[in-house]
Amino acid sequence: MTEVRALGAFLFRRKGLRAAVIPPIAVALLPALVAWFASGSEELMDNLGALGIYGALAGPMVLSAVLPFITLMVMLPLAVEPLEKGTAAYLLTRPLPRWKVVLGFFLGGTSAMAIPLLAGVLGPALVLLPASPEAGPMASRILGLGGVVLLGTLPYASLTLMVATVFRKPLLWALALVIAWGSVAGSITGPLRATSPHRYLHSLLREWCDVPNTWEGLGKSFSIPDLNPPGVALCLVVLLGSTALFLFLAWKGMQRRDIL
Amino acid sequence: MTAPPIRCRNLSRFYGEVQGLSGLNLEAGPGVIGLLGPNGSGKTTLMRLLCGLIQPSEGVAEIFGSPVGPGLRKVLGRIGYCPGEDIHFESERALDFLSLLASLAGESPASARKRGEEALAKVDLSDKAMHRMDTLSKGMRQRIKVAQALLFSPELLLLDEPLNGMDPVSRKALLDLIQEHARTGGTVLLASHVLHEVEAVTDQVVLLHHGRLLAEGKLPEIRSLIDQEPRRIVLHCRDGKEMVANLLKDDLVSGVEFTPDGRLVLETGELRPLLAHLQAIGEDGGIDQLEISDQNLESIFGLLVGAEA
Repeated sequence: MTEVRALGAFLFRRKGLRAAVIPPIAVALLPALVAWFASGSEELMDNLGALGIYGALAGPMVLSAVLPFITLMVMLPLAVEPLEKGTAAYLLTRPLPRWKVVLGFFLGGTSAMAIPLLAGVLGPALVLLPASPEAGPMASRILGLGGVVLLGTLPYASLTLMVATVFRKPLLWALALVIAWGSVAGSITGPLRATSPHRYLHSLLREWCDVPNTWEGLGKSFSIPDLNPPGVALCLVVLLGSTALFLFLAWKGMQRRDIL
Repeated sequence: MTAPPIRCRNLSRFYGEVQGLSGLNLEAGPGVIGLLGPNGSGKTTLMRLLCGLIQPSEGVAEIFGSPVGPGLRKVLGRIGYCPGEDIHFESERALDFLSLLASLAGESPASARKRGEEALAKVDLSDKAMHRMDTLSKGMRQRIKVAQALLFSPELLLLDEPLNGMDPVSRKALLDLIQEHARTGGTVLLASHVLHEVEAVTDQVVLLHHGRLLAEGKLPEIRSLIDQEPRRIVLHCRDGKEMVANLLKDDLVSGVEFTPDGRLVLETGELRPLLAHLQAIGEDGGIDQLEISDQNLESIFGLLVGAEA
């Protein structure tokens, strides 16, 4: 797997370091800004407390807004640019099976997404820490949200990679699949909810960050409840399974893809 | 029997309604093969088909006997491809870029770096190893593209317009390198529309036009075919009428035209005897200047296209 690591490291350096990382970090810090405003609100502090604001307010924001947008800002150009500009010709004319190229892109993309997402997870915690009475529960929620975001990175990055290799208008498809089907349809009640990876991320968020599965109004709860929430095991199977499926489709797309 | 380095059977590629390459049958290599044709003739399409970057619409392309497709990976290690476009991972340093490509062939980081340094030395760019691509001149970027094709000293080099943007010294060095590669048993498919450059390294050519094979073979053979076609010679001379009378009497010209600016245009199917005759007349016979527009490969190409049309 030397080749996969080498390609992943190369792509990570291009999109996960240097100036390329600044806009995604700026987007990822928006929940921290919201948490800072919320911590100044007596009503929210009385209703939720610092832990509640982190889990019930910042958590869903990171999951439903930051994760999809970071995916579009980092993974999409990382995968699309070489294919559309033609620089992928240098990679695809090496004696390297295309599934390794796909894995290299996936590794590079997920690594490049890690730094802004880490900022998204830690930013609100740092803002709320002075108002948090105990560090232990906050650390537990940070780990919980971090775990959910890490698991969410896998299907979203692989979905975007599939979009880049399969479709001719990747930006439109990425918006439709990552934002509309993923983030929006997976968060609201409706027939598409069960098909979206986002629903399973929300379930994990409830389990790991103690987010209530009830609607108690904007002052207390910020995510729409799921009447039949899936268990952790099913969530893991769906998230990892969909990642494998998207990677497989990305590989098929890469095999058929013309580099012009 | 050993399979030829390149074999195409009824190879076609269409881009929607546009014909990129149509029904190409070709066996080529070893040695240097010039792939000639104007822009849009199908050279780049053929190159991309041969290294698996695009899929054929019909037919088969084989490299060392392996059909281009999923199995091509086995022979990709024996191919070096230099794309025609000026495309690079712009913000990367030259050596980092080459090291990455070497490591994609399974080399360890140290060995990949060494490969990169060797490739840079081959194109005389060792001093630019730590320079970013976007700070290099077009000629240097072109040499980096050639360097990446040479990384593993492949048996088959597919070079798409490699001389574009290079200075004369670099051109000469690359042409020498190509010839050296062929001398050691390698194959080079050299695409170009700058025809005298191809002629400098090979007499084995493939001519494409509008995606179709126009001619293939040794340059002298193609020339001899052309010699049967009527050719035009333009003379600046002082007493054209007497000369024309003599040429017509000896049956050396098939057509004559006096232009308003005083030039004499001769059309002939007997180029060599006519040239010998004109040389014998020389300046004493009143010929001030003689222009033969069809002495180079470019005019041969033009004539072939004209003949086909």
